[in-house]
Amino acid sequence: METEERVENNNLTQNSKLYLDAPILGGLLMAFFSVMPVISIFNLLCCMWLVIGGAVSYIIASKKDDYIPRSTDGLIYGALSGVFGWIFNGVLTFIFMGLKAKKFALARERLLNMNAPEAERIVRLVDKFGFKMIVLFLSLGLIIFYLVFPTIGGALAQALSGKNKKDKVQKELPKEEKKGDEV
Amino acid sequence: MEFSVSQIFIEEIETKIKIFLLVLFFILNFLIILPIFGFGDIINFFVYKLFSFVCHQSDSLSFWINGSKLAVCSRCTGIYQAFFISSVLFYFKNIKFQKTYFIKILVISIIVFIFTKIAPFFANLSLLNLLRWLSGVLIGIIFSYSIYGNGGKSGK
Repeated sequence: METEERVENNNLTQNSKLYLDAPILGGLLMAFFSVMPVISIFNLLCCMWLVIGGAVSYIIASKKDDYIPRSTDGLIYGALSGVFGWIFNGVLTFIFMGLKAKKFALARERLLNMNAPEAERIVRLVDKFGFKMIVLFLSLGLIIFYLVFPTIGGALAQALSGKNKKDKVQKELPKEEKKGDEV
Repeated sequence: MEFSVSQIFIEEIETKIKIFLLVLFFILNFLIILPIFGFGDIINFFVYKLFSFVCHQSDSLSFWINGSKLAVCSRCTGIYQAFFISSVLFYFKNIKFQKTYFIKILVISIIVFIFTKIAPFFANLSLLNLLRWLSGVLIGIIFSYSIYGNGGKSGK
């Protein structure tokens, strides 16, 4: 029992690495595909790009040579990639908005020409707040999805990979301790 | 790019993420039903627009309550509801993750998902929405099991 406690304490105090390039890459991937026209439609399938982005960030991190396994990696890399993904999504959305300003103006005119009360109501709402403000509000609101789904993606990837990291670390430590005792 | 972090910090972060996800899903479940309270056009516009990022919000494939459509389709409603409820249960029950259970639920949910695609040929729409909701519930359980299945509030 004492050995188990010592192993537990060793596990808790030992330092391990947290890679940042993995969540950045995952975040970039999910943001790019979520903003791209046509491809972004796959987000309607349980936020597919967000889930994939979170999973990719965990997979990239777990493939590193000096990667030390942990039971929480899927959650942490998924959540981190979501934060980066949200930032990239905001930047990319505004870039796309600038590129497509003319198309948006045309769409507004078309909506007004439709003579449909619902369409007019939408145009009036957009005019009231300003198009940029609405995009900004929505981009800020998207953080809720960018925090939830990539985290799920990371956890799913870890669950499917079937690696119980904590067990591995705990099994390896007593051997090291034994070696130390022998010396 | 890499940081050196202690295991204690990682354990704390894990617990915080789990609680944070519970709170987020509570908020999401509240936002989904917000349009039925009739708070006005502006709020409804933002809620529908926000969820349009993650759901097709088709009229025929969504639940309607008091003449108002929920913010997401029946399948997504099932995902959000099941995730929240099962997460609360898993979190406090301290369930250990078992891959065989995970795979079983995954296979069942895939079968139900495929069935919902075939069902429109021989079932009416109200039944189809219930089936879609059920497939969403199974997906929600899988999502929450992958997160909370490896231990509840203690993270062990």
